[in-house]
This record gives sequence, C-alpha cells and structure tokens, in this order.
Amino acid sequence: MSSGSIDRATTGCKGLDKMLHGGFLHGRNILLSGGAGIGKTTLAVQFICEGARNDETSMYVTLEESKEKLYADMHELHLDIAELEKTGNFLLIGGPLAVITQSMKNVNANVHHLIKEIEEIVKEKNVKRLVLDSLNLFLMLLETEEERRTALAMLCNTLSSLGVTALLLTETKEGSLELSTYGIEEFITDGVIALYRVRQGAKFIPGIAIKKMRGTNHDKEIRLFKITENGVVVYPDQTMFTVI
Amino acid sequence: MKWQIVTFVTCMVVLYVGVFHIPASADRFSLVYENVQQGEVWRFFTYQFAHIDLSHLLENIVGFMLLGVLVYEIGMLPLMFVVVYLLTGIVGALPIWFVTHATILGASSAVYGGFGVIAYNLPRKYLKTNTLLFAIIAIIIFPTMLSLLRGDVTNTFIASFIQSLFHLSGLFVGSFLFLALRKLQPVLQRRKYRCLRGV
Repeated sequence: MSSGSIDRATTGCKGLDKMLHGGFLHGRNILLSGGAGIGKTTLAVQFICEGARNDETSMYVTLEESKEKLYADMHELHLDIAELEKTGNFLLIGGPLAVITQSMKNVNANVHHLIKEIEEIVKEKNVKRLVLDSLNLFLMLLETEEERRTALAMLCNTLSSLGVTALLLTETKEGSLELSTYGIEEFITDGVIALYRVRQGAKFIPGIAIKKMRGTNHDKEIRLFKITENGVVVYPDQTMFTVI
Repeated sequence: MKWQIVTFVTCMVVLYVGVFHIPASADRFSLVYENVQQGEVWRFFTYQFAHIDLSHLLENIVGFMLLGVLVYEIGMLPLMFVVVYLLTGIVGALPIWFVTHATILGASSAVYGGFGVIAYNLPRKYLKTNTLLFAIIAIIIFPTMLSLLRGDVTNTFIASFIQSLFHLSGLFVGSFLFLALRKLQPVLQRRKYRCLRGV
C-alpha cells in the first residue's frame, strides 16, 4: 500500500515515523504495550507534544500519576508540557486511580460515564490526539471480560468516530511476549506497538516493534530504541539480531 | 456509602418512634379523605410516618430495618434509595386510596416499595423474580396472620385484603419509581460526571 499520499499524524519520534511510513493514520487507536519503566509514557508524551506543537488540540488522560508528578518527570526529559498547556493546545485530565474511583463513587458513575466525559471534552475542545495512560487501569474498573470488551469497543468507536488519533498505553509483565494485560485489547484496537527489553548477552536492549497497523504498511522488524535526554529515539535502520 | 445507609435507617427509625410519641399522632397525620378535601394536603406526606399502635410500629420498623440490612449488603446508592423510599411513602398507597378512600397511615407502602427496589438491584434474573414473588406472598399472608394474632377474627379477611392491596400497590409503585428514576438518572446527572476533570 502506498503511504505517500496519506496525511498522517506524526508521532514526535522520527524513527518511529519512519517505521510507520510517515506516522499514524488519523482517527485510529493504537495500543502501546510494554513493561514497567520501558518508556511508554515518554513516547506518549512525545506524541502529544508533537500534536500540540502542530496546532492540534491534544489531551492526556492519566489514571496513574498526578499532574505535578507527570510534569516534573517530563521536564527532566526536556518535554515541557507545562509550557504547552499554556498554549491551549494541550490538556491533561485525570489523576491517581484511587481519587478517580472515589469521584466516581460519589456520583454513582461507571466506566461508560468516563467514556461519555472524554467524548464531551473531545467535542468541546476539538481534541485531535489523545493518550490514555493506562488502558489496563481503565479496564480494571470493570469486572468481566464481556464488560471490558464492550467498554473498550465503545471507547475505540467513540474516539474513531470523532476523528481522534489515540494512543492507549497498556502494561505487560516483564519478559512477557503478551501484548496486553487482558488479552483482548490487541484485537479491538487498530494498531499495536510493543516495547520490549531484548536480552543481548549480559545486557537488556530496548526494542520496538509494530505488531499490527490496520490500513497501512509498516516496518515488521524489531528495532532498537533508546531513552535519551530528549525522549525516546528509535533507530529504524538498526535491526536486532537477538532471538526473543 | 454504607455509613450513609446506616445514618438514614437510624434517622427514619428515630422519626417513626418520635412521631408515634406525639399525642394523637394517628389522627393528626393519617391520610383521611375528608381532611384532604378540606385542604390538608400535607397529609399525603405525613401519613407514612404515623402508626396506629405499638405492634403496627414494630412491624414496620422490623420490615424497614430488614430493608436497611439488604440495602447495606447490596451497597446500593443511598440517594436513589432515599428518594424512592420517601416518594413511595407518598404515592405508594395512592392508587388504592383514590378508589377506596380508606383512612390510611403507616410506612408499609414505602417498605414494600423498598423491597421492590431491592429486587431490581439483585444481580440475577431468578433472584429478582424470586424476591418479588416472596414479597407478594408475604404481602398476602402476613396481614391475615397478624390480624388473627390480634384476635380481630371478624374483619380479618376483609381488612387483610384491603391492607394487602395497599402493600401490593407500594411494591409495584416503588419498583416502577425506581426503574423510572434509573432511566432518568443519566440525563439528570449528566453534567455531574466530572470524574476526570474534577481531579
């Protein structure tokens, strides 16, 4: 499939854009999976900052960290999201899960109401990019697989129908080759990007692979990436020769 | 949420006992057709808090506390429970009252309405059906048994039949109110859902 003529959402990481043949297709939802501390949040913030810099309203929905903590962490990586927020192109909503669940209890809200709330903000602010950090915590609010599947499909459909390009972060166990926590997320989302730690001798080298990307061709190899002081840098021409 | 349920149950029991101790409370607060015609419309609200005698009061307090325990166990939203309970206390008996014009007082319509609410909050369909069936059977049998225990043999069947109609009315009105409010709740509270923005 030719990708040159399609307008894409660049990710804020040139190497990843090259692997994606230009970036994400607009209006798609992509699962970004990986173990703890591998760089999911950093990559997600780069994606959001790229959108905000390109004058696209971008929203970061966190269910993990407080605003202050996220700002401080990203400031260390020269990703000044506090500055971007002042431009009006960047929104950060949410907070620690315990606080959110308490707010939900107070008004008898459920996950569907959270989706509705996200939809309202997207419409109100004309949001074009969204990060959900993290999908596994979001789905943890539900009890059965059927409920999770329905809620995720609803979330993805809502975002796609509004033309939002979404990056949904999910945590996997260290060393696991699974792509998601519940084993359903990769089937519902349009694309899957996996971050691995690949063993090379006595070292663990971070690797990135595009496992699935509906509607576009993409690089099929596992590529090397590093977290530098400027965020995640992907080396799209460096193949990793390690069996994982 | 659970402390709110405990608080509500305690307050209501205190209220029932308190009203019972007001001199001539049955006359003052019951729903009497003639009095309502004379403009005492507040009786629509007060009749649910008045009781004729101690056994009547105890019956309803026991029923209400059992309801409170079930609500506590299910962890139902207190606000919805409180609204439905108090509304059923007002309108639960009215469909029968408008036909019979009988003088009525007591919390039983609200209590049976509360059981209807509980039934619709149970997780399985067979539990809902069985709870509703149990409530209906209890409504039909208990008044007769209590009338017999009181020695009111002459009017037992007529009185218990009318009482059963009021209780059944409470059960169905309570269930209906709950289902109607639950349907309306997302619309009424739509702007309240600020769980992500509010953090």
